[in-house]
Amino acid sequence: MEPEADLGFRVVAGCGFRLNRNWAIELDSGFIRNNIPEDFPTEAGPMSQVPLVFNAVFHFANESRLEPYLGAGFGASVVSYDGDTGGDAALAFKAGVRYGINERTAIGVDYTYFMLGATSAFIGEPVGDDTVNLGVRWAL
Amino acid sequence: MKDVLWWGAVLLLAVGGVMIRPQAVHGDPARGWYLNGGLGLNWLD
Repeated sequence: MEPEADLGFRVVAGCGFRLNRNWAIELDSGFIRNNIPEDFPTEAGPMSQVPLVFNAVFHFANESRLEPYLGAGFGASVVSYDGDTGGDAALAFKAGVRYGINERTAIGVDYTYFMLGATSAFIGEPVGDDTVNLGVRWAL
Repeated sequence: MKDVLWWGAVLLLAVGGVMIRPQAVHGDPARGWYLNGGLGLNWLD
């Protein structure tokens, strides 16, 4: 899939609980901003979202400092679009890798696919949103 | 494609739920809370 000309941005904020070496559950939120281009089936214009997504994450735990992971989740997003504000269902998938700097801190990069309008309750058509994130994790 | 993604999410959550339960009962030193933060670029498709 090719990036659109109008790149948006995403700020990620969330918390999680590591259940064991492999599995974690997470609650992700943040802020997403995009411009819907003219060639989309929905009305063109700026779109802002504040998502709240519950994820299950599988970590490929190993002896090295690099730890890949895969996650999937569902939730909802508050959307401001086309002069209106409302909520809609959302679905998320992510894949990434983290590098442990020390016992409590890790940095990493991940790819997230975020699908808004899974129920088409607010947005007329489902809108897919691809994000490449740089992230930090702090163990409490 | 989107149907495949939907069912993939359901399957991963179901398998994850089954695998989490027995290990969570016995506890694990890896357990604990954490915070995530990040910045990214995105595009629509």
